[in-house]
Amino acid sequence: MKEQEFLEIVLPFKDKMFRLARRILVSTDEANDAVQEVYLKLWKGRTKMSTYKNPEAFSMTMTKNYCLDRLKSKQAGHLKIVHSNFTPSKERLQDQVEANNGVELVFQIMETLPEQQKLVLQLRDVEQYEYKEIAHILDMNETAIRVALSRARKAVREELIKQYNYGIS
Amino acid sequence: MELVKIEAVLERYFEGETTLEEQRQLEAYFQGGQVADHLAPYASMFTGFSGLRAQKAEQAVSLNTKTESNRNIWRYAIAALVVVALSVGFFLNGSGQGLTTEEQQALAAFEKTKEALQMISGNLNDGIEGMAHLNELTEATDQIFK
Repeated sequence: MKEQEFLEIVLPFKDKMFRLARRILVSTDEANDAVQEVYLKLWKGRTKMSTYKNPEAFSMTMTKNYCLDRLKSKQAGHLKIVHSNFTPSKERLQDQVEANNGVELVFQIMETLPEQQKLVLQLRDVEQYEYKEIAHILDMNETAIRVALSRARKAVREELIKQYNYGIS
Repeated sequence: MELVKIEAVLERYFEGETTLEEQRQLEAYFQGGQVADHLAPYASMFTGFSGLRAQKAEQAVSLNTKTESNRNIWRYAIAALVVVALSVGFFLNGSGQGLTTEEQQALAAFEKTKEALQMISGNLNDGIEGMAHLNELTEATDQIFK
């Protein structure tokens, strides 16, 4: 398969791969590196690319697996930083909500979720994949996805209400 | 969409039961600016998701295609050959003429340095001889005062 043909298939979902990588690895630099690595892997296995029914799901799965591995090997060497404590000031909450439409806030809250909930929320609410695709990428059945999704959304809701109340009290 | 309908969809949303279309409706509502007070905390949730969705990878991807790396190997090989050839050339030329000007200058500098160091060490030796006399004096005075 020629380079041009390959890129035409895989580049359209580069941004989704990047966002998933950053969701897992948190750092933008790490995410960029990961995306580069995954593309090299895809390129090496390009002869199989034409046989995939869903190259996007396959690429996203590869991204997920690569990033989770990187995360584990990083954590093996370092102390794990646990974000469980938001102590926003009145001004900070307003800044965040007004300045970037809650992007930073939602990103931080998602970071505190358990891995599965984090991933399900990312794929459904950020990337808007259908349940079938999510099932493929995460290797979960649709009921499990729904349950994880519900829990994740409620956890985010709880944190947002907490912060909102700090903000106006 | 009417508030009552929004609230109904929102409830199903938190149970994980909404379709993507319904989720888009929720997003549209919360980005609309006319959000009911009691729903205000949820606004940043939906605007946050759509904001995240808009973010792009800034870095271009490069594939090390085979032809490129082959080309590089050839270039390195040719460069290495040229360097070897030049070195051999210099060696053959050099051994016929004796010392180059640079080498002559280095030799002159070396001689000068040798001279300077000998001068310093000569002075030091003088100093040490002087110290030796001082030693005799100290020993002598010690004997007297014991």
